[in-house]
Amino acid sequence: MLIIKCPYCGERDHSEFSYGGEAHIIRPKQPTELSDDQWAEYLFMRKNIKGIQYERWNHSHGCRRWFNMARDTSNDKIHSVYKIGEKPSN
Amino acid sequence: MLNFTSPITESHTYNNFSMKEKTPVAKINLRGDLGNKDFVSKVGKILGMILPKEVCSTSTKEQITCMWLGPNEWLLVSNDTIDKESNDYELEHLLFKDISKTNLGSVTNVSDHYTVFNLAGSNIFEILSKGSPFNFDSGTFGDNKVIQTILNHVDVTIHRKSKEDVDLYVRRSFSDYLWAWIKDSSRFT
Repeated sequence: MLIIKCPYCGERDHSEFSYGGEAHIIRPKQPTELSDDQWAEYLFMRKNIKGIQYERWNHSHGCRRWFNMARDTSNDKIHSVYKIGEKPSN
Repeated sequence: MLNFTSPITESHTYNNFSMKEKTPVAKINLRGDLGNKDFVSKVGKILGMILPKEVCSTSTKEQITCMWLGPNEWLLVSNDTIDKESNDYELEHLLFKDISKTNLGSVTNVSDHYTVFNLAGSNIFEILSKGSPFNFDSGTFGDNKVIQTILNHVDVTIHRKSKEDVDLYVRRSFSDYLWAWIKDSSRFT
């Protein structure tokens, strides 16, 4: 069992959460000026790294708030959990 | 409360565990920003109490209990059962006029959205922990706390009034299913 520390509710089981993909992807300011390739890059292309990855998570069966998490994809160790809009601490 | 037929028609007792539907109870969902002083003071004036700021906490007055659901979300419930024929609450009107109309926050009447089970007995948390990933033994879940979690795949809000008195809020369409599950589970603890 993976225990996730929701920044609002505290420690809860992972089954209360849903995964929301990679975090800190910035939407282009002028999508009309982009080529199709650049737009596809923004829409679909995600990193799939072995190591610490920054992700968005939602406490969907609890407080229903979004937050960010730095998780090591190789061993599921959670390095930090922080609110949306904040910068990762490490 | 609208005049619908509840799927729960009986109360259930097994050894020292008992469960009954508490109906009708007024429930209002309130959302707003605690950083907005105008919102906090207006809500405080209408409710006559301060919104609980602390995680999973509740505050109670004679007629209403206010439960923390999220950093900007609360559930207001009436402590006693209310008039069955009407779906019209003075509290909702007051909040709607001062909060919704002035764009300070949102007020939603969710009375018909949730069914309330009142559980009583010494083994409530043994039964609940059979279907829930929440750690009921952790020191954080004391009296007058409220949590939202999963109970046998269903989203529930659990309000612990004391160790032997718990209110469980579940969506009405799931109430029949969850009632049957708790009833069954209570026989094996």
